[in-house]
Amino acid sequence: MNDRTVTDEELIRRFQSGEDGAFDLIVARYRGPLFNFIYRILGDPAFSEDILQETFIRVWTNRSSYREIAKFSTWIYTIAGNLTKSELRRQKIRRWVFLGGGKSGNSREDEKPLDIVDDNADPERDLERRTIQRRVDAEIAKLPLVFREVIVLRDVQELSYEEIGSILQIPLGTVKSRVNRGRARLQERLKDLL
Amino acid sequence: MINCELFERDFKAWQDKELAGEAMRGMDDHSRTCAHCATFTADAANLRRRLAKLRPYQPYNEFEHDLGVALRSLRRRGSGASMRRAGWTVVGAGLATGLAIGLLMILPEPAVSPTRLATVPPVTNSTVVPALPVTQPADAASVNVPSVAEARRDSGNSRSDSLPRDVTPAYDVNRHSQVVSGSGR
Repeated sequence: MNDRTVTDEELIRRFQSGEDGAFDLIVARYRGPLFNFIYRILGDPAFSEDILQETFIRVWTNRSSYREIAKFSTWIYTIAGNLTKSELRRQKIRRWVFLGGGKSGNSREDEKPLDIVDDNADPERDLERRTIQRRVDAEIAKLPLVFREVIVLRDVQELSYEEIGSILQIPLGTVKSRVNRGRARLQERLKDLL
Repeated sequence: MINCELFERDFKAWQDKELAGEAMRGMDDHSRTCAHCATFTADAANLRRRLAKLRPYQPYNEFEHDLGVALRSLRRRGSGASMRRAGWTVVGAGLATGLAIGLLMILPEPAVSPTRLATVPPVTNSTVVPALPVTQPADAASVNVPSVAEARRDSGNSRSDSLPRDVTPAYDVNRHSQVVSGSGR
């Protein structure tokens, strides 16, 4: 049944009518894309996994509140996005409370990035690829949140502008202008790599 | 005429093919003739390619297992909570019943209301033995309780239904009249 021909909306409908197996398929489909989204916004693998788990728990407990007026992907990304932003706010408060608002020792630059294991890769090429990936990730991470989230959703997750607008609850024009400005900043910073 | 500043301003709309025909052609021409903007266009395309090809991160392998554990615990907590709710409902109902019974036992009997009196059937017998007072005075011996004979004498009523219990009415067939016979006579 793990067939992409079964739409997400069909899966959630089955899940709503009591078929727990449909939920497993939803998890299998979204664990990767959602983790990428959350991790690239949050920059901390442990917190990202917690948020990812919380996202699926919310889907489980609030399954009856999903109505097919929006795409399922929009709904689940909205949940993940809201939880991620709440976590960012909490982290900001924690830093402020415990470190007096100064630069934290746990800033994104100091975090050890996740390594991606590729079993059948040429070690040299893999090293180069990883270096580039880290650099791009680091530059994405340095973008202000408003640009970071649209860049990740549009250029990494490849969602449509309309979907991004629904997920972030901002007008289409704002999405486009943020994407444009975010890309321009990124392009400027990654000039030597391009 | 499009300059580099205008080109960069309208760049995204041009890429998304959202410009009108004339503006679109102007951007196309500028991207071909201006080296700086040609590089800018190529860099933008490279950046998008790089971002799209970023290798995806994955959560740890046991993620699904841990999610399953979390969901099972959530369900257990949910059913536990409903059991606790049911338990507290029973306890609450028991306490309320106990309280009601306790109050009935503690509170004095309410006075008979006039409406209740109105429902009592009227007494037809004219020789009612006076009732004892509800509350006995401390010196009960001082109360003069009239005897049955005194009551009869006072009322002047000779009807048989007012006789003492040891006097039974008998029927005299010869006289076709009711006479009274008994041990008292």
